[in-house]
Amino acid sequence: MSKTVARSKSTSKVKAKAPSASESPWTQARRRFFAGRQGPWGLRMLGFVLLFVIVGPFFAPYDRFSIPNPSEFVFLGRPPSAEHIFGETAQLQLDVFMLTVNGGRGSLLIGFISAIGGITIGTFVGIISGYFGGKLDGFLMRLVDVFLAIPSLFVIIVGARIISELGGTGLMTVIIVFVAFGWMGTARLVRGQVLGLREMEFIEAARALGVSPVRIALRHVLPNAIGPVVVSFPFAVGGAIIGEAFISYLGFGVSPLTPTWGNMLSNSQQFFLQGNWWWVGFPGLFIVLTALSVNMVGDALRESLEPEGRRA
Amino acid sequence: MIKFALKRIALGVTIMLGSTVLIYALLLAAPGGPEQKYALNPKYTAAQKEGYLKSLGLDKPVPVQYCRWLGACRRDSDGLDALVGPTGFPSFLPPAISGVYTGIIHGELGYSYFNGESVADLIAAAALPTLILAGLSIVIWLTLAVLVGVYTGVNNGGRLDNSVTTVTYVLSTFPVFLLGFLIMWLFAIVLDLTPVDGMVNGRESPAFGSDLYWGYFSANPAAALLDLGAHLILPVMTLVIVSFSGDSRYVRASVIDSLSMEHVRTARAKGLTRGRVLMRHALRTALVPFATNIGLALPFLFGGALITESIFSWPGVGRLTLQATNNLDYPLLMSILLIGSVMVVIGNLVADLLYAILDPRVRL
Repeated sequence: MSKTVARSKSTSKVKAKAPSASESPWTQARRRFFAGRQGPWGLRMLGFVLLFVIVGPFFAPYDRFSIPNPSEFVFLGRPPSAEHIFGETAQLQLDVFMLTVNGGRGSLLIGFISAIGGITIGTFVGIISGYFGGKLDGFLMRLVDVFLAIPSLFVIIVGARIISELGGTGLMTVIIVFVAFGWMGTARLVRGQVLGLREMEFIEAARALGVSPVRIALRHVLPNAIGPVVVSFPFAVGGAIIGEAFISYLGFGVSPLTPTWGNMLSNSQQFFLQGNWWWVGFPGLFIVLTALSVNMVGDALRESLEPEGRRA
Repeated sequence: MIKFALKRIALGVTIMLGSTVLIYALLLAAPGGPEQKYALNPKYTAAQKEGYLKSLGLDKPVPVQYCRWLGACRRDSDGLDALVGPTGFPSFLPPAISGVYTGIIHGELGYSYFNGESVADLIAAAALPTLILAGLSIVIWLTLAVLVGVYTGVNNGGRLDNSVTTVTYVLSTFPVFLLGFLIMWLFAIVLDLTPVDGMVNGRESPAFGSDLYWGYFSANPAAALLDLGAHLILPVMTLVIVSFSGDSRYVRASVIDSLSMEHVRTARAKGLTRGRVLMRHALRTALVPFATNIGLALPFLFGGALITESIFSWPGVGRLTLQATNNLDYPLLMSILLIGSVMVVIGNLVADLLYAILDPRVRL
């Protein structure tokens, strides 16, 4: 192995040009983001997945009440062919391409809405806690501790089971559970940022000018505390998509009437061991692709927003 | 140091109390209760249902139920005097002082709504398989993570580093159950090297944990251990692959960080050998944050292998949790959640203390 081969693989190696005085930190970050390899490739992969999920349903619309009536019934399903490019499922012999294309909508909706919801609540709690401090801060942070103390996996399953028992087996069930147990990390992160910002001179100046506390919190503190939140967003999306797949796989998630990548995996498990790899393989591939691309975007964002930070 | 530990323990107890409230509220929101198992019986009358709920104490107001479950109230009284035990001391004190033996703070976890078994027995029976599986996986994965992480960190940018880092990056985004399937399919079906799932070979050995099993185990320990080992391979492999990749990336990043620190440059400048710089100076700083992670692995020993257990039909806590969730078996679920959160709190405490002990810069 030669030591001279030091081809740069990650963006950490790409040194940004000397920043000119007129550039805002965000412009610099954007340049660093696109100068690397990880970020643009992550975006491209994510773009491909989004395109697949948005355009695909026009070619293969999903109707939950239509069941194919093939001339010859193959219980295990047929492998990919020209007619069914992703093959057919076992049992009902549905088209896997149609399920994958339409299942992506559910999975991506869960991923993005849960991430937006959790991060919004977390930012809100974090800003209140950090900016107003005192007893409120103490109470909110103990609340975060309590929520973090319960193993999230268990709680998510139990929560999803409870809501499904109450009658909801749609996407909303899963989103509610993920938002309810997905805000704590952001809250802690934002609070830490705000605690540092609160003592800065520009905040003091705003206070001296008589700006109202709410306005200071929203206009002056929030934009400066938002960096790490932006970084955590893609990871939250990936986490929620995998989380949905996981609880749907266990049977507590979205009902099979609404296809998602997760519940496709749940039904196909038993047939996989008998040789039907395509029913598991394609939704699985898209889950991995999505998780990989959002993580790549997240890592690239971290490196471009926090150039001095840890490089993984 | 001791003051810090005491403060953290006090905080931990507060958090625990808070989480019992949260768990209780969560499960109270759930519809259906122990009477649910009779719901399909047409001869089951409303009066019988009421009597059944009353016998379990579920007809009382929620705060009273919570207080009784916790053990701060006696079960034989409804009024405020339930807070005081027969000996005249508050009920939440240890049984020897207060004379109250019921409730989780006195170690009584209750009985399953589903089949009436003692929750403590159920959890104890499931804890050993989980401990075996998770313990073995943790040891292997932490070792691998350190080895791979240090190697790739030191050879940062090399060809092997690039490929290993890419592979671990992809693996760290892999959902466990997908990987579990693939591994099971490849090794148990295609190559036919290992058993597919379960913990023992049912044709030769009694079910794990039963009295018969221990008799079989002492009769021919070699065969029993070999059988257990063969069944362990796939789940351990799944857990190790999934968890080690994230950790090895973490170690790699902190090794790279510490190699560029000033004290390492100093050590190099004064002419120490490469190995000595690495072992004595760089790795010591690099591995401290990782060592503290070991405290965080404690909750994993109890219930971290939930998905893997369900894929490989491992009779552990994860599977017990899923069964309890399916049956809405509240006493069992609450105890599992509670023990899980005790583990999290203790794990965090251990991590903090380890950090203080290992890192000379942290003074408490």
